[in-house]
Amino acid sequence: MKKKCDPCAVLPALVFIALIAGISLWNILLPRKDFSEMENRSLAAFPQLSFEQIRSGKWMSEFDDYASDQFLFRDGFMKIKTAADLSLLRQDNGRVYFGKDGYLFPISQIDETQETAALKLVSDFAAKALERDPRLRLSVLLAPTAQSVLSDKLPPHAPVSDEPAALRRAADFLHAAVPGLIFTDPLAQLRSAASAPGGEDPAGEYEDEPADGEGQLYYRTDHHWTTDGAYLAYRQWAQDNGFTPASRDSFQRETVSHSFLGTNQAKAPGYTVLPDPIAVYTPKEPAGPCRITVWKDAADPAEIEIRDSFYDPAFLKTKDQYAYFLGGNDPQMHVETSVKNGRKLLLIKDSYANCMVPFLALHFEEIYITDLRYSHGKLLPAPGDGTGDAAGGVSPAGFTDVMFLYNIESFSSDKNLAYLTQLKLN
Amino acid sequence: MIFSSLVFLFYFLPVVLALYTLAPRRGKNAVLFAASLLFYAWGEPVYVFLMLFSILANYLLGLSIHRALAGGTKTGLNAAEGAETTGHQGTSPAARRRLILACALNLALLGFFKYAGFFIANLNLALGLHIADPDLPLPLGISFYTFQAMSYIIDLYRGKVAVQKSFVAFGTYVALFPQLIAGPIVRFQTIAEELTLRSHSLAGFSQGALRFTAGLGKKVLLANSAGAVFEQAMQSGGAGSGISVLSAWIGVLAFTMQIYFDFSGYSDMAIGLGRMFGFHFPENFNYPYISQSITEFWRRWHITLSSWFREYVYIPLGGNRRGTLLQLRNIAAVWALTGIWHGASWNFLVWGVYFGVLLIAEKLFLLQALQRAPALLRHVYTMFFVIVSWAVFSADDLSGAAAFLASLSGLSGGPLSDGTGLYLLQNHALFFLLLMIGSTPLPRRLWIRVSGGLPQTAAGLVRSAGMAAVLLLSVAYLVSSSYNPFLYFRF
Repeated sequence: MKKKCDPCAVLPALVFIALIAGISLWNILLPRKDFSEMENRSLAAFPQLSFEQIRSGKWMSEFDDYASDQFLFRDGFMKIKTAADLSLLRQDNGRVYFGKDGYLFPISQIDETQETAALKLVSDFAAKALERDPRLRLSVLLAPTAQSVLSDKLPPHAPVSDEPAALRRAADFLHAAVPGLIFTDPLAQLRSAASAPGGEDPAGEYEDEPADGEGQLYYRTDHHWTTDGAYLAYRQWAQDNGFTPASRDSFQRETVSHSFLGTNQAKAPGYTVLPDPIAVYTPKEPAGPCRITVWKDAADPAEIEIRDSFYDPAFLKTKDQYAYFLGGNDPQMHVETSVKNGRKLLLIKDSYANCMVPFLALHFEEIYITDLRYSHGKLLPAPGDGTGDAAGGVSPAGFTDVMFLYNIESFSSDKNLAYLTQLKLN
Repeated sequence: MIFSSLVFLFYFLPVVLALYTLAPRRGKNAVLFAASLLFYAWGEPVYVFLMLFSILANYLLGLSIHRALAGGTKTGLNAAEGAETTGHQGTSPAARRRLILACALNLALLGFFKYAGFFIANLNLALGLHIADPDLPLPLGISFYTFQAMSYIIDLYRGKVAVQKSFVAFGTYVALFPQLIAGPIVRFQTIAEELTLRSHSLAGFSQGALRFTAGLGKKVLLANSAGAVFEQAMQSGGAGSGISVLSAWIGVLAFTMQIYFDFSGYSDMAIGLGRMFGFHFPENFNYPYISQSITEFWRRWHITLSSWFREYVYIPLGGNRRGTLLQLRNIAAVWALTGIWHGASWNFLVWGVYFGVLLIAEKLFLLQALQRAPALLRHVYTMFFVIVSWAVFSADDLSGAAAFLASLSGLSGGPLSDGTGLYLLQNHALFFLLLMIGSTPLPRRLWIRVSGGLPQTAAGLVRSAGMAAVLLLSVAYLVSSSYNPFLYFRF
């Protein structure tokens, strides 16, 4: 190339070359990352080369993901994007709404086709289970998410999915399809608690909210409900199902963390929010010891872990603090409590259940918990469970109760409910 | 591959620039040709062979036309050798046969891969037949590279350009990755000389880098965000009930901005990249949204497509030289073709015909009437018809277009306004203001005024800093969001 000496004319060329060459070299030298703490998800790895992958174009699109996931200063660039959105006075960044009082709301949509499929799968499963054992108590608890309970904290007119309508559709469908089924919709409960004085709708600013988050039903920075929210839903579910719920006074409320930044915050990197506190309810009268068996891998029945607590404080030191409850999502768990009432529950759930299980455990001798996203419908008997086959070939039997516990958004979009057809109750 | 991707910016481009710089002068075209094939194969690992076939066929047919023309002169001299213009006006019947063969082949490839499914579907519908649809995906950019190859063949026959005897140089022309998948449509004569002899300079590279980055910013920062607003607005209606009038207008305005910034951004990137490699591509957009008539709009929008149709359809049909009636027929033909060029679907044909009708009306009386109207009214008139046209263009098919128009006019039964519409309005008001200002020459004028007062070096510094900022901000957007649509997959 001919060099011209006019610095004004050549400077852009030099800057451009320096930028793209510099970033590209730096990228190559950068060590690969498997996991993003900030976004709380696995990052794409270098795709496997093969003729078929190239012919179909799959390799190229995987390489695109790889290039984006392994980009240098990825976190920093994402923060810049959020800052740009905010400076244009936007109230969302395409992934979360920036709500009032520091609340972030994930932008979601309910796919009614998928929702109908989910309801059909649940009702088919329930009908079959009831046919086998008419005494089985079958309940479904679908939780609304923050956007329906705290709608006054959304930006004005923010379009959100119509969860109340979805909950009504679910109730109508399931009641019609399975007459014996008990459906719990805690929306009204949660809404009235949220607007009660001293509850979620304080006339005061959120700076004045109690630092321990008492009365906060959903995390500001995470898509889950809090223990306070879960307790209210538990109380209603217990009443609906003929249990006497443990009263609020029978628990000691303890704050175990003040630094939780959850999935909503991960969708808006760089958006400054106040971290959430995490609270637990500890029974004032200890319920006695429990033994929890955790299967870490559905494909390997031998890989199990034994615990004696519903909580794993180790996770409070990581990004994913919600995994403090039940130690996160595993394919299957078995809980043996000190309750002696002969009741045995099969709980089919998503992560909304994780902070509610300690309440449920007050009413059952045994609980099997399966997360279809990871167990794929495979149910393994606990060691020593007399009902199953020791070889692990036969699922546990003798359930007195079956419960579905999901939030309505994940229920309506979870294709893994199809694994219900594989889930056999003996 | 698309320009607005991390793979292009930080894997493909640096490597190609390095190889291109290192390659000796004679090897530079080979680097560009190979890079272009890789660029194309990234998105079309199978159809790259179709493009190679098209290049080879046009290359050989070009040589053959050239030979026929040379034989037809009977001069016996080597007049047609080398890179000089032959100057024949299609006197040889053999050359004419070969020209027809070449055009037929190009149009057959385009027709088969782009229009076969459409044609069969309509034939089945009209005659109640059940011919199986070959169900071929459209090869990316086929409309662009076929038109480029045809410009070479036709101009060669007309004696306007010299034959290109180097396969690599010809392949580089057809497949040149900067303009391969979204234009501009560069006629062979525009860059014939630069294909064999072009100069490179850092100053030229600077212009290219600035232009490319401006285009990248238009695409990534403006068009993609406008596109997200468009999609949100269009999805706002519940099942059955149409979207609200407010959402429909926000949607069509967002698309108006998206298509302009996306398309002109691509052209800027193409022109800028071309400049980096020493080429001068023609301009494709010239602030179309400041037009004061539809006629003017089409002089400012996708300029290289309009001039291709004028050069190779309108003028050969007789243009305006054979009386008003024939001229109107020619306009109608060109606009029906322009419409269907944008995609094998009825709504594109309607879109083209719609502009044909407006242009004919302007030619006959409207333009004269408009002369007396105030400038603001002329502008409102133009933008109204342009915006409405985008409703037809953005739909998937004719019924989608009809539904969109019904929503815009309030005839769909949808509400006047809804939460989504109000939300989008307040959420993107500032962004829309920026888009509207950005689609006029104002920012450029402002820059010229500001930089005019600066010393040379300072202007260079400001320019470079601005470029770096836009590039890094675009990267931030590319890293953060997966929404990066490609609008020209139906072209």
